[in-house]
Amino acid sequence: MSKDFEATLKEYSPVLSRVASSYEADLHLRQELLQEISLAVWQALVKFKGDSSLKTYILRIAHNRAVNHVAYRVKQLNSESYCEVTSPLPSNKISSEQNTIQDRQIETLLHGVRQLSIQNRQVVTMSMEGLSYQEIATVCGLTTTNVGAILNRAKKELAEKVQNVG
Amino acid sequence: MSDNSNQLESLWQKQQTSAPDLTLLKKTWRSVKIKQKLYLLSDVFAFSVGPLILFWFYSSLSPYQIFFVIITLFISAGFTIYLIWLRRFSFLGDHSATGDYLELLKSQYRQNIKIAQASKYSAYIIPLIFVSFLFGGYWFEIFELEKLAQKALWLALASIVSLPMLWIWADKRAKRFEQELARLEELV
Repeated sequence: MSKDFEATLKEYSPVLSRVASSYEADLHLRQELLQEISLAVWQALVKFKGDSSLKTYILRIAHNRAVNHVAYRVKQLNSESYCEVTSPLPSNKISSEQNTIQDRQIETLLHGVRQLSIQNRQVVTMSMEGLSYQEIATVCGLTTTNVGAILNRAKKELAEKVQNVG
Repeated sequence: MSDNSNQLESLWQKQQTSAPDLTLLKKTWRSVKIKQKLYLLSDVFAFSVGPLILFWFYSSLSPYQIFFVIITLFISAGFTIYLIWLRRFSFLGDHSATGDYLELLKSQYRQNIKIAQASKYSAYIIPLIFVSFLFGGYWFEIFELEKLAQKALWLALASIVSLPMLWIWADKRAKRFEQELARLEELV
């Protein structure tokens, strides 16, 4: 693995981790998904032609790979040995009521995102990663009008859920 | 809406994240490359068995056996082309627009179901080929009766062991792809 690829993966690992969390609630499977996504991104980086921003390109690869995982997961759901661990990773932060409310809001937001249809999930999470309407439209194969409509509806629902926490 | 948007973005960015294991990633990548090379080698080998048999054993094969090897080659070539046609969607990359990719993935699953069903049906076709070979050998008096009986026994044993396994494996794959397609359609 060249140093460039390693540096790129390190730079974008938080983004990839957030993509994984939007598709997978179980912590162990989420880490597996993150590995799969990282491998897909690494394989795809050699083909990057610069016709979009690197972030947009990486998000497209990451979401496409995550969709494979979601379909494949039906195997785990049917398995008796499967057990879901959804508690967040242990935090080193000093616990305070604010942090607890914030943690619950984050969990509620993640849960709400995972309830969305795949397309809406992709649009909303890309928006929260800072992509413009045009960039989201290009990545998802939609018009900017569609993107706006999806975001208005979905963000309103998510905001209501989050505000009901704490 | 803008306040909501900012709040959601702020929460989104604050979630705890983890990093990929780069050492494991390098190991997986090496293993993927080795597997790809092995699949390619096995495809080349599978395709070259027939021509190699003809090349090495041509002088010791009867015209009937040569004819049968050639027919089998044509059937397997046809089957391979059919499988490559069914697999066409898997050659397209992960870098498609996400909306297109979803449709591509669903098409891939539908084709995988057909591939698995074709593998299942081959469990019926293979014994027919064996029986035709033996019957032709008997009818055209190519083999002595004793040798024919021996060949029949070996082919029957090989079929009894391998064909049910092939059928069960292909049936499980078809069912798995049907479930994965259903799950994907549910989520879209």
